[in-house]
Amino acid sequence: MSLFWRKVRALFVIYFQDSLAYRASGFLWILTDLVQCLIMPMVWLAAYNGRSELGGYHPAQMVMYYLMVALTSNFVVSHLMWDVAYEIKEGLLSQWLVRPFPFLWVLFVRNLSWRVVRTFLFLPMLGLCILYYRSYFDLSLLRLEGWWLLSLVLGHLVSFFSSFMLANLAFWLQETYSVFGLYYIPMLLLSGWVAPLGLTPGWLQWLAAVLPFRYTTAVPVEIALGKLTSDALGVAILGQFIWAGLGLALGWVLWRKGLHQYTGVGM
Amino acid sequence: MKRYLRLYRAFLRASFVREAEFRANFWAKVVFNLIWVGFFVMTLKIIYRHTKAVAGWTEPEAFMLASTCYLLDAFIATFFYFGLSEIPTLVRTGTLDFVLFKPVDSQFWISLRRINLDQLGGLVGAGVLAAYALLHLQPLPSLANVGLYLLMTLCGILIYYSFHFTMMTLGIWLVRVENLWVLSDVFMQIARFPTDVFDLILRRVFTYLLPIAFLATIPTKALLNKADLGFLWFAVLWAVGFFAFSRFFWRFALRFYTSASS
Repeated sequence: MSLFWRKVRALFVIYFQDSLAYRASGFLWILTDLVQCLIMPMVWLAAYNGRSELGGYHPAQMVMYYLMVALTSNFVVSHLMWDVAYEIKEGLLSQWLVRPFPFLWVLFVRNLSWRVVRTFLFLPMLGLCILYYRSYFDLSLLRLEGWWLLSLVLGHLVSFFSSFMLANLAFWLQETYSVFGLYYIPMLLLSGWVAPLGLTPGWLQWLAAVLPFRYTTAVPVEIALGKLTSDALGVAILGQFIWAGLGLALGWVLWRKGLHQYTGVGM
Repeated sequence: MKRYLRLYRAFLRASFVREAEFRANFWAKVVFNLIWVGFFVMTLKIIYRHTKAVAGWTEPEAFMLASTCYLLDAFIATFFYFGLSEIPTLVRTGTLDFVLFKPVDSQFWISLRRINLDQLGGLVGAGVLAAYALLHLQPLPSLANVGLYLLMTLCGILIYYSFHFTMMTLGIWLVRVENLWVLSDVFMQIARFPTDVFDLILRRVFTYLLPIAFLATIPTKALLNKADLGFLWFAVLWAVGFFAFSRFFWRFALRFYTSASS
């Protein structure tokens, strides 16, 4: 194994342990996902009013949709901009710049290890949800095949690069807190976290098609539920590739430019 | 009592000065809060595109419920949310010492010191939601119902205060958990939907164990003339009881406080 991959592995182990050390606060973050995947199905179930289908989703599919959204977002959705912005503002970034290891890789490994820990921490909660929704729980509704796995990996990358892109704004902006906060509005709406995109108005679906958010969680979840097939599936995967590439390119340009702004002493 | 009023005036003055210092930030916060209200409106609109009623709640009724939540939120965030949220930091850094040394009630000082006037956005949002709801509600609520609504909302505020205070007090033991406030946010996140959407077990839990139903669902029902009179008394009981408990719990927790520095 080359030196580079040994470093990657070492970093992964360090951050894995770090995430485990703060599992209590991790548990609290996961609660927000848990509440969403517990409440939203109940809201929808109370909205069927005797109908068997709502916007193409029958009750069991609706429940499975939110369970999959919660599980998928734990692995996919990155929030790294908060930490990176803090490191830039406080001048802590310098400690990474002087090391013989690219910072983007540090971020990637740090994010991945936390995502893995978080997914595992979520499993017992998912178990509780399944128990609660046992009369709707139906594994045969899921199609967890190769395309799904690919879209999951791509979704992880799209979210990672998008938040990396956003994090770089901290090089220029005095106050990043509100900007990052605002980012969550399109993110939650267009990534399918609020509701299946098929149930949203047309203009939102159009926005979802061109912005990166749909390509993070909505695509893998819809593939898992068999909502995306043949052509639509191909287009969605292509969109994921495009946004992963675009995110990396834009993020990298911003990062190079930002480093020229960086004073190293905090602001 | 007079001394406390004088102190509160000083808190207010300090908060005004701070707000006047960062004016751009103030307006940004106002707009930011309004946008979040808009976000929840979108959520409701998406749901009501596909149905006329959710667990018996029509769209204007759901808007009224959301308005109650944002009214509660704005009130809480203005007067005590941020002060209370600092408890874990005070514990971690040991600055709680300075609070305890002061010749004032520590709960008073921690709860009311920070007044955030930039929560205006949420209040405006709540007003707009209420106006929209009232334009579509048939029949309009009577004056007695409005009075009851205000009383119930006050109970809701007190319940939320007590919940948040109790959760933050846990910070005295859970020093390493920096995001305890998430618990209170989740509490509110659940309250945004009528508790009628839940099944019997959860409805009971949210009435008798965790008083989420009393935050917005029951006040709004009081306004819509759908509330059970028994629940109204129960709301007052919860509010007073929970407040007393949170105060007791704080004093109990302080016995376990070991200053960070020494």
